[in-house]
Amino acid sequence: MNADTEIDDLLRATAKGDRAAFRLLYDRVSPKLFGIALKICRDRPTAEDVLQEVFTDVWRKARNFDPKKGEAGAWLAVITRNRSVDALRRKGRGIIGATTGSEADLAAVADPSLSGDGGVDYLTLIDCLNRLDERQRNLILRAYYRGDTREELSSAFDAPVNTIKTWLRRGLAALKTCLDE
Amino acid sequence: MGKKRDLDAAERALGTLPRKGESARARREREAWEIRLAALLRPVEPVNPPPGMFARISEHLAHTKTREALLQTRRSARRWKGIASIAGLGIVGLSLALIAPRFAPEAEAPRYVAIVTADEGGAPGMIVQFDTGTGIATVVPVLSDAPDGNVYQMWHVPAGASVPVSLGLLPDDPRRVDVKTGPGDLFGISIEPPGGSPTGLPTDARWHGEIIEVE
Repeated sequence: MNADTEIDDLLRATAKGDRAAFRLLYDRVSPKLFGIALKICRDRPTAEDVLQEVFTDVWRKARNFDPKKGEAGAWLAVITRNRSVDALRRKGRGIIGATTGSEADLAAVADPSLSGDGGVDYLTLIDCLNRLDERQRNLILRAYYRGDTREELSSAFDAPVNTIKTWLRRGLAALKTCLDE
Repeated sequence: MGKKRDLDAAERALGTLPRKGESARARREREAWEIRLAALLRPVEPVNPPPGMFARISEHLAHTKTREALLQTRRSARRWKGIASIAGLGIVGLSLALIAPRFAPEAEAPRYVAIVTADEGGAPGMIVQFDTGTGIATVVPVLSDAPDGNVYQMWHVPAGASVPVSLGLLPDDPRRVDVKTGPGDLFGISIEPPGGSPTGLPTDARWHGEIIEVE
């Protein structure tokens, strides 16, 4: 049984109210999800709150998982990323300082040699991101990992909001074209 | 799909456009982008959450579930009371009349009752009644055999508590149970594997009912 099949099975059992499966699922995926929450929130108490929200969601909405749309691990990671961004926005950037970090960590993400083994999907996505111009790539990565709004990107990149919108959408369109090749 | 719609979906996935109010189709399109971009999370290093985190999550879930069940049973209780006032004979009174001859000694002290009903459909699963004068609590089961060889287990959540306490398996016939109860308490029934809950907490709780005072 591979790891994703195991997580799929645990999610399906959790959807039926199986607490033992829910506990096993927690043991299996919580370190990864906590890592994601910490990376985005950059604040341990906030990341712990996010993890609690994520597993509350999982217990209540596990039946919404559809394996035809993607792997269980990706579904859980997306919930965690979205909850983390919501938490950042709720708490305010000033407290957590999510907009004040260096660009180095973003650059590191886009460099597979620095980011370990992320699998084929990851390498394909990074390859496509690396074909974008640097500004478009950084806009997308910053919005993804830091949850920046168009207005926050406008301030960070010192460009009008409409220009940010144009750059962002050009970048996303080019990314889609590359991924579909 | 049009290019604008696809880029809107991508921006909602990124969070640079709001997700609120999207249609079912728009949600599916956004989710496709979310899964596409989720590869960016693959290289993130795992970090062990603090010890006690799972207990915190379990407690939060029990509290949330109890609160939801309480809200639902309050609505249900209001509905029963409404029916009672129209009919002149309350369902609560009727339930007590049915069980009183054998199980409720004559008493002037306040009496409490919980009609434990299915979360889906509202069919009764059991009736709990408590006489504060005698201190006797009685359970009248309505459900019979649980499906697939499983068993029914009874639970009590005292007012203000968040963790259910087992009252044992649902009996076949009316019987006394060792519990003292009052306003705000919640009772429930769960479906459990043979022998009862393996964890000490309800596995699949599907019936709930709040204690109300019988006038």
